[in-house]
Amino acid sequence: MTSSPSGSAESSAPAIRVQHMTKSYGETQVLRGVDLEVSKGEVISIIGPSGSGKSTFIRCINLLEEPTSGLVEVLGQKLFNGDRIVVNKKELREFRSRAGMVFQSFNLFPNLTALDNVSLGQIHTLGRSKAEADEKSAQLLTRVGLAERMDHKPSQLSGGQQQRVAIARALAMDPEVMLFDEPTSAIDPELRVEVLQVMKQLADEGMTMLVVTHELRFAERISDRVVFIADGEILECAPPEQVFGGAKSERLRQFLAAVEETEL
Amino acid sequence: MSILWQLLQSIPTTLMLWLGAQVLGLALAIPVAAGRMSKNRTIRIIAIWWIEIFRGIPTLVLLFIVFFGLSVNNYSPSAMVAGILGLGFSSSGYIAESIRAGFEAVPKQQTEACLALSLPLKTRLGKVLFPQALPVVSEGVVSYSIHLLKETALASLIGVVDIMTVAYYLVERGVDGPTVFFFAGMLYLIGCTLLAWFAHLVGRNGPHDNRPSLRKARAA
Repeated sequence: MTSSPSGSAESSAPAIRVQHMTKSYGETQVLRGVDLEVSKGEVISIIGPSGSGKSTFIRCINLLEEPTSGLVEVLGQKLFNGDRIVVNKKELREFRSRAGMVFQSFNLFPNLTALDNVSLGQIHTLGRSKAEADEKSAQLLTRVGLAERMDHKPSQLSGGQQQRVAIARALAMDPEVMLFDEPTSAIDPELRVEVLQVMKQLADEGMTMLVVTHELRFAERISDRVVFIADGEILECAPPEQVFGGAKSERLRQFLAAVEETEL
Repeated sequence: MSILWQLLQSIPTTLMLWLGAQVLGLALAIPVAAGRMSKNRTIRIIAIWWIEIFRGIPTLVLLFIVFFGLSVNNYSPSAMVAGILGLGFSSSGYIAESIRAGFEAVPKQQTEACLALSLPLKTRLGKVLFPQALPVVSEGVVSYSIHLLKETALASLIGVVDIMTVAYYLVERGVDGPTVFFFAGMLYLIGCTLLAWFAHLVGRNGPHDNRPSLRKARAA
């Protein structure tokens, strides 16, 4: 079940390139100069203690939050450079439709059925016909194991099911990159596996993925590289066997030890 | 019996005042609420002032200002027009705040999900935010609407011949005051009750009924 490290062919432009990203809220510096390059097809997990800036980092990549300074380039497009957004609204929208985002709290539209949740963006953002969109939505929902739940509202679904709908919704836009912001943190432990399986499958299919997660075992299994962030800085960035095997920095050792203790 | 008959005949006038003010209030409230939630500071401040002014001035004073003060090119509004304008403007502030409360009750993450999907503004508002805001908005609008029906009685003071004016006229003609005003009060009470009942019927179990109790029932 081990996935191959990033041996796959690296094409010219990285899928995601972040340089010296900082983010401050007033006096508080959440990110202190983060650099990361993600190649196409690469799966990267971001781990680290709560409040270390992991979520802020991933939210800054599709500009749901604006970095304070740095460079953000995704799918060959410079989005943020220096201290401001360098794309116009139309370009930003066009970009976001190519980068799927999965949230910790699912954020499904509670007034729509699972099927309509997945179809909405296809119809109104991509301009697909309703029939075409619904067909694709049905396929995707079947793929994530929810063929029987298509006409259910989010409130009628479990956390694990809701998150799988949310993944289908993001995939429906045919994204080239998928960003996951703690996708299983709000789900009952027993139901997490169904979401993780879907993500594993995606990773195996070659999707470029950036995953903020607390699931260390999962990160170890699916990632080409694991990034350890603490106090707003990347302290480690290496293949999982290296990060989880011979942990180098004292901070990472501490973190792993603390997690292990709670998992026992 | 003729007392009641005369009072009943003034019902259409009261209803017209109420409906006119309601429609005008809603029509004004929508852009005001949009302005109140605008990112543009100037627009937002104008909207805040609008709301504070029309909520802060007593409706009766507004009615007098419109009735006595408004005259354009030798045109001065009839009592009915002045009544609708005065009540309508005063409603607009309250209704705008109900609309805003509704939209603010929708979690911020819903907007983020829309942004992540690049949904156009029209879709974001029409298919996602508004349907979720609707239960709260309609609750506020209905409750103000009931209040407004009672407030129309103030228009009798600028000469609109509504239920109150007729009641007062009857008393002047020697009919027993308590009896007349009892009937008048009953008419307003019936109107308000019908309205509340109707709103309850429309809202109940509707697609946008989002009461927590129902949400639980549906999830079960």
